[in-house]
Amino acid sequence: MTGLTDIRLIDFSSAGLLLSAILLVWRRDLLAMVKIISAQGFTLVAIALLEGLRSGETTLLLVALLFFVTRVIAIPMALRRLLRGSSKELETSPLVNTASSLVIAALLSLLAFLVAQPLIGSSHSAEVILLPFPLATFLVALLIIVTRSKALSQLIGFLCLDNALSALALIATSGVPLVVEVGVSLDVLFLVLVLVLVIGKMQEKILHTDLSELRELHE
Amino acid sequence: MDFSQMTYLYLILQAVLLALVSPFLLGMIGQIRSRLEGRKGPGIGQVRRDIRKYFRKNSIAPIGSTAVFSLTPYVYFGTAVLAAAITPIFVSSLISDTYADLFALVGILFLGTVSLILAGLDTGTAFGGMGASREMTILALVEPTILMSIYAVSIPSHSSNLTAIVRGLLVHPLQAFLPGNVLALAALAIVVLAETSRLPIDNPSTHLELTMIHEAMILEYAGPKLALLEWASAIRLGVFLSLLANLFLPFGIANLGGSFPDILIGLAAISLKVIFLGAAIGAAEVFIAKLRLFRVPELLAGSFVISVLAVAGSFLFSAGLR
Repeated sequence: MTGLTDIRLIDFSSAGLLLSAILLVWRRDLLAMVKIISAQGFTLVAIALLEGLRSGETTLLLVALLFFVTRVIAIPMALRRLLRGSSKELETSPLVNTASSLVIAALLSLLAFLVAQPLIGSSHSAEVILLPFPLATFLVALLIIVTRSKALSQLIGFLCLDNALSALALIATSGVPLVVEVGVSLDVLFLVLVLVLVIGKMQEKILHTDLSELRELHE
Repeated sequence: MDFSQMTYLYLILQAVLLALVSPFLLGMIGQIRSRLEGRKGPGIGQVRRDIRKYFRKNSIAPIGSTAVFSLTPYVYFGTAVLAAAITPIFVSSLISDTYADLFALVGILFLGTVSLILAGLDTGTAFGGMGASREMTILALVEPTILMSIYAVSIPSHSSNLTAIVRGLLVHPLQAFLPGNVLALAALAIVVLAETSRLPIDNPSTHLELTMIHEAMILEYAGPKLALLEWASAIRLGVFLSLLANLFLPFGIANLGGSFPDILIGLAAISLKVIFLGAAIGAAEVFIAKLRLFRVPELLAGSFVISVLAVAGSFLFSAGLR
């Protein structure tokens, strides 16, 4: 019975992962998007934690702690600081209108569910039925990156992509070695910090961060 | 009295009780909202007093309006009361009773909405037509969502029969927390707000021509017919909220033909659930503004996506757990 309730909680967390990706497509408000990405980080922490409790591996608990520090606290804090600095760009400007991108997101999720079906059938692990959720999150994150023009919203799409990949690793193989996980997390953290600096400078110098308009180099 | 007569008596009792109580539910939402906004508020009986007042006034019909206009209040009210009877509110009907079907229930409620739309068109005024076209847009967007979420909810119990769903959830309460069900709940909650004309889709407390939807359609009504429409709106809110509550947390609901204490428990449970949901709506409305009309399709598209995911999730987990 306890095994069943464990799986139920982890079901929830992985559904939350996908749901927050859909919410990212839905909202235009950048501040809300930062909140959502932080909530998504929390679902990732929950997946790592539940996976660790189930398998009894202490490294997974450490990974959960690492995720909590980077994805839930540090990165959203940096993003929020960037937003506080700029008063102008508080909304994204998606290239595809929201209603159509939501429908595309639904189709991508269905695709992920279909693609994952043979994988689910071939495995005996109970967690592997959750595979479609990070897979769908991955595709939706790609959609966010492709259809958003503002630098910050693309960065958020990238973070979503990274969350999806980490969750995929956790669900499919019970996580990668701790060293790799630490490396990836710190990589992401520093990448975000650097990009936050770059975006801040861009806003100072050229007053916008619309990447599609940055076509030529200036001296 | 034989058993089948007895069951119908219960259903009639349920409809009558909900019809009597629902104006107070609407009044309660308004009162909570007023208090939270720092106003004194008119008290929870205001909606009932308004309805009683309208019943005493004269009814008028615009020149050139047809039978559609004069019959709509009765259709709207009738469908609302019928829905109140067949929804599992504090008693659930028998599994063998095929009328208690989710698709049928949604159809009945939509019949009322469509009649209201026709009445809005029938008045021939600009506002009526505008409200009708807006409501039609929302209805067209809401329908796929509602069908998908119903589908998701009915997968674990292998039936769209309301009683079967409720019974299944009573036997396995954890089933309500399957991701498919939770997503369907989220999608249905948005749909319920759209269908009961609450914020952020429609603002029931304004007659501002730029934004009104429901109020624009019933603008030409006066007197007893307006009273029926307002009353029916209150009943529909009660039906939708009880449906939402019982499709996910049906605890306490009585069997049809259950004993008297069972019925009392059922009544207490549903009052608790609906008061909680109503209070949540009232409190939430303080903090949110109405969406611009062109943003409403985005919200409804979002709820559609969620319901699609709910169906996918339901299939996944009901296949995986078996």
